[in-house]
Amino acid sequence: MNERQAKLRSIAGSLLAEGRVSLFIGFGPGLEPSRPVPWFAKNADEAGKLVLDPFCGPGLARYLLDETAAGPAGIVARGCDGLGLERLVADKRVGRDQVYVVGVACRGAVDPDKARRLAGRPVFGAEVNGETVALTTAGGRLSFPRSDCLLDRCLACADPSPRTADTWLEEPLPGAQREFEGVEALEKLGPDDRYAFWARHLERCLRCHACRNACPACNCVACSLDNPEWLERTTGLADHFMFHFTRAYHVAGRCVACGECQRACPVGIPLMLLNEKFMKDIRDLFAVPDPHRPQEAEPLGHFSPDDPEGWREGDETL
Amino acid sequence: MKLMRAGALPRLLETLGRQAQVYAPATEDGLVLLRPWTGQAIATSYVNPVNSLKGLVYPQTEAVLEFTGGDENLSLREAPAPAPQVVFGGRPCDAAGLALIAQVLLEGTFVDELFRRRREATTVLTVACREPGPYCFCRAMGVSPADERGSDVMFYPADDGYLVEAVTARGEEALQAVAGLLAPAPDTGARDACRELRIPLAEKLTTDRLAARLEGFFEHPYWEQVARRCRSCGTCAYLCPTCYCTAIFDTSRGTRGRRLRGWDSCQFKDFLLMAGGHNPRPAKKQRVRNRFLHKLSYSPANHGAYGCVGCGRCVEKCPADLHMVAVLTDLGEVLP
Repeated sequence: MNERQAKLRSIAGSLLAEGRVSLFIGFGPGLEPSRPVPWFAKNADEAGKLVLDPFCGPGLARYLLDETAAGPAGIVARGCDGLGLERLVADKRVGRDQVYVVGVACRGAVDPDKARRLAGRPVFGAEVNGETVALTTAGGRLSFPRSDCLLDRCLACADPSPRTADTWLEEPLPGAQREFEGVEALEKLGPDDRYAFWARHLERCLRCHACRNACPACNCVACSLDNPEWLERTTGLADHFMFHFTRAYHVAGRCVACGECQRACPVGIPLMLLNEKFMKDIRDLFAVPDPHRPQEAEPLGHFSPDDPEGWREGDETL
Repeated sequence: MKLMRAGALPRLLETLGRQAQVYAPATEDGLVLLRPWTGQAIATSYVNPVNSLKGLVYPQTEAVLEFTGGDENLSLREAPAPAPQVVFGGRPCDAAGLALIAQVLLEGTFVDELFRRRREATTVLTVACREPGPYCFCRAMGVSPADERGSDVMFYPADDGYLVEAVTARGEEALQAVAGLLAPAPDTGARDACRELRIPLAEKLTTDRLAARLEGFFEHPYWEQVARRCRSCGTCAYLCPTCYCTAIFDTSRGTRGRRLRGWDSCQFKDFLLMAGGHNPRPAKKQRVRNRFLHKLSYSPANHGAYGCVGCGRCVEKCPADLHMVAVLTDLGEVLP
């Protein structure tokens, strides 16, 4: 039996019963076992249906924007959810005291589509064991390399557990350093090839806003990209470049590398490469070892009166 | 009914392409999309292309008119007529989706000229299904894997090619142009196989009692509960072969500009936002409810058919798994 899930149900049930949270955000049963859905438990009964297994994919942090308005919310947090929450708190969009974090140690989420493709049939269960993933099917258990089964974002993950939690479901796993192999490969291409790469991918963009609406850093009350004075509603390639590059600049230095934009994209645009390019540059130019983790003095979001360049050129008043 | 060998397909598209822009399924970064065909490999191993037929007949943005000048010497020019196009490789559900859009835009009191022109300029060569996708549920919505609605020619995949059958006069005409590629069909086996194809997910669903279930359901707390997980993006509507809502907007540079029409989604929070600031559907609950009631209740009431053809795109692609199959399943559970 799934002990982690049973423990989570019990913790969430108690939090709700004691009135410490008005809602608990986690995962619940979906159309099939490989697709648990974001779940919002309001009572012990609904907490009793919480799901916690390697198929829990969607990012949850952004739901806190809506769900902390009526009182504190509980949330089960993997590392990505934890960083998303830190982002929302740092941006003063969610009060930390309005969230009760149940931290978990995540070993990566299995991509339901990859799993089905690999197994060639419906998949009922999954177990991540080090470098392999065991998938349960009607025809028995099948083993595949972890790198073939997990969501893209989980393959690059350096944050299996949140950095802080109000209670831990299990012993948290330590963070690691992010690598930027994909960006390095892209940087080696010449400008024409890089342009061709992005043109090919961005040409598919539907401008559905799934990326923006998945992003814990895209938490503005009103988005400039909804304003036709900034971005017209035409949907040519130039508009798609404008949309995605503007968004990447807006979240530069604030992206927590949760990868939810790329997971949400219905047409497979490798959006994290844009965000990782900024992260890598920030790491190298500002000597910030973990640019995706919100920090006290954010390299692009912090001004110091001692800045050698001043507030702006010729301005001595600061 | 005729038989066409698989190897003759490029010749067929090339022949039809002399008079029209041809679209065909192409593989790109592991995805299959309907793309302008310029002789590249034609994808065959797919269930549904990522983009439905909708975008080719009812583009994401299109010009209504062009204008130059200002208050004094304004001149308007209607958007040029669309060029003829032939689309090969869409599925019966998507073609049925076109037929649904046509019901709304062509058969009501208002006839949408932009849609009419492009629909009439389009020849739809549909490939019927021999294999269901994991998220296909067409039969539950009254659509069959061999549905002919909205198609001009049906292609039924056979062992070494296709059984080919014209559905409309336009389809007949297209087949006459390529008569040399067609042989008499030995039997109707391939068509029968498509017509009889089982759709496993659809077998778990029913819409028989839906009308009764939705009676008085408008204010049910279900909508608030299910809408919590919606992220108010447009993935569902933009992938949907039947969603047809659009907005009109202008773009201009100096004294030249265009009036355009483009897809909109009832899930966007500003979908109904009016001048003056009133928003009739400010909450996710209202917007999500609208999406599903439109397809399951208003559409049958107004047009006699569900506004969903069961293609499964929303099921596969909604980033929060809030889709038609989830709602149909839930509705069975929450009502007595």
